[in-house]
Amino acid sequence: MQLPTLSTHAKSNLGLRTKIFNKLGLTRLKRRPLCLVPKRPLSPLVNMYLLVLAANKNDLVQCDAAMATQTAAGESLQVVAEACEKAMAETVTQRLGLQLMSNVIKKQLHRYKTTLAEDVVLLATSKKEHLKSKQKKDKGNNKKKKKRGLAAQLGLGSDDVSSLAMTMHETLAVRYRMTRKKILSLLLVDMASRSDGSTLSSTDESAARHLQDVPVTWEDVPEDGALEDKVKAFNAWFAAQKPRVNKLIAAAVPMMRIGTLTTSKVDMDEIYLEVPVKACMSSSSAWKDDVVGPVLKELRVKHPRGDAFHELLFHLIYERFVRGRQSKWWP
Amino acid sequence: MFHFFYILISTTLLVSTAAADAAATAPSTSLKSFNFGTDAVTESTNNDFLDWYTAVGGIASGVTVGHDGRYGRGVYATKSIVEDDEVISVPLEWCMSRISAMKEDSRTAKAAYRQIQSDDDLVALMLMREMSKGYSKSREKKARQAAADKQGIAVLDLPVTKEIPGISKWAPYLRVLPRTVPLTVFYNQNELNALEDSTLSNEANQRRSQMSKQFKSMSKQVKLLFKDLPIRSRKSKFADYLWAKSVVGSRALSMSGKKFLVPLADMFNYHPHQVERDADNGANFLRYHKMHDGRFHVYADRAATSQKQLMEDYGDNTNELYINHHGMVSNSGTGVPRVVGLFVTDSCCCLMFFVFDVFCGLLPLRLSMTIHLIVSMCNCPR
Repeated sequence: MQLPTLSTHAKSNLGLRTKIFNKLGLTRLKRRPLCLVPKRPLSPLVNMYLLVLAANKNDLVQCDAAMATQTAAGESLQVVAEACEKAMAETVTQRLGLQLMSNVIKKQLHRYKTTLAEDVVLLATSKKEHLKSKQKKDKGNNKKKKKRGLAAQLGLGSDDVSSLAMTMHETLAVRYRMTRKKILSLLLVDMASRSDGSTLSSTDESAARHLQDVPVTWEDVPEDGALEDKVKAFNAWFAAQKPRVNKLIAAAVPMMRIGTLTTSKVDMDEIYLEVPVKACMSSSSAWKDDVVGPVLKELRVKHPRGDAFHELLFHLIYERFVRGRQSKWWP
Repeated sequence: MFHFFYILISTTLLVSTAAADAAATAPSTSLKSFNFGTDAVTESTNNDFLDWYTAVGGIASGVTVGHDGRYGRGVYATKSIVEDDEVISVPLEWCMSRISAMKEDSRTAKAAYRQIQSDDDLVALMLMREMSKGYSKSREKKARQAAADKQGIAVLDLPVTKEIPGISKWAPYLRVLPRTVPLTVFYNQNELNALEDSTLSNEANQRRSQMSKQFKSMSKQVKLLFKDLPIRSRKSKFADYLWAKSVVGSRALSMSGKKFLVPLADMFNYHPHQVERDADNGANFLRYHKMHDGRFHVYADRAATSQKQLMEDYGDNTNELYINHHGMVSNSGTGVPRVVGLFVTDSCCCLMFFVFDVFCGLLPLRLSMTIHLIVSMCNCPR
């Protein structure tokens, strides 16, 4: 994975940026392997690197001035760097810096030919195939003993393992790349939560306030709209349900579609989410529905025992495909 | 002393090994393996190993070898174990290392060992030589019978620790070593492509060619090492070297840059420690693995109840190192490794441990210390 460079990502104010880079010794980063740890803050050197890359002219000038003052006072490099960081403490710059890093991680993720979900399917299919071939082997062990000789004479390969079954090496390789993708995805989520720091590091109250500030409502989002917009609309819709406790927020997670992030620390055994019953789709909500309810009543005459699973299924089909955008659950 | 051990061993062989619970709280002199659904041959191999292990002075306190369908061979608790309990203690002369190699009877073999600088290669070649001496059970039986007849004593009176012509004195240990280790150097191109990581697959190819070059460069030493062994039984081909290197790479424990193949201690399966930690130059590994009083001591890094597998954290390594050198990938619960794989790229931390674990034996001390200083200055989270 390559860090964004001055020449490719920050062509403006190149002289000033290079000057700060050299003063703080940030070029060292490019020569070294980079350690990124999910759920841990970026190292000061990486943070500084990204800040200088993302800063605008005003920030850079302020940083340079602050550094000059500290250097004149004979302070250490660390103090000089801190002064520069303080001068660029604007959230916009910080956000842009994290965005740069996110883009690098995204690029790396896109380089993979398969997604995490596809890898999961691959492993599951291979496991199934191995099981099948094992069962086959056990079943017709005696018959095969006679047939194998013939198969070999005809030049047919082993019929025990199908092409979908992976070798041990392939399974290991897939498991390895899955761990990489998971770490990268986690890092990306981490970056997103950090760049949205006001929401995620604050309490429920501020999170809720943030949600209210979200300009996107579900009416604005087209069906083929961006996943991020859909998630924002969902968060706004869910906040409108006024859950008593909610320490979660939905977020678009690369390679995993949608996931949840915590908005504040969750302790063990703590209730972190209470979903109002009126917001849930269930067989009882299906019965209460003015269209689905009467149909279910009719069906109950024919099938007196009822079937909660299919009641909910019909309800979901009706809401998703008939009511569509008019459904109260659309987001 | 040897007679005393042997009487105990012969009594253990008579005892049925079917029920695992019978072995609970047993002292190490009457060790029996746990069987959780494996075949009789494997079980007998495990018991032979345990008999040999206790005969050579190995101590297993509250642990034994077990075999289940999922992990294969592993270390199982025979009683409740708490963290920091000493579970394994093996005399250094019975750990495959430079120390034990230099105790070889053959002068030519000793001369060859002396010429090999890298500990990795030395232990690998030692493994190849011991395998060439013979390790199968039938061969062991014949060799022991012949030796007993020659000396005019009963087979049971033959000391296990003494070298017998036609069989390696490590034979029971060699029989429990894996025949294959799924390292990336053994992957074909399709399997390397499945990694979806060009750097990793290129490195695997490079490593394979490096190993080939290294083996060629040691041809003189290899010839010298196998000089006194019959040509037909020699395991001195490149394929044998690759196998031995992969066994050493995946199982040998590294202490101060020296490699040790420690019987029983090398059977721990991996599971990350419950407590998440930062990489710290392998300090966690050194806390539970110590060498003193001429023995190699292993302490439990976690608690385990009786008959449960006792696993181990292999140290501050990344998944990259595990797939390259251990033939495994760490998935801790959620599928995201704790300390393992925290580093997205070829991390400095990874490099640091890689340097120490893999190459230290190759480098002079001063150079390896310099590398340590350089990499410790890099951008690792502390």
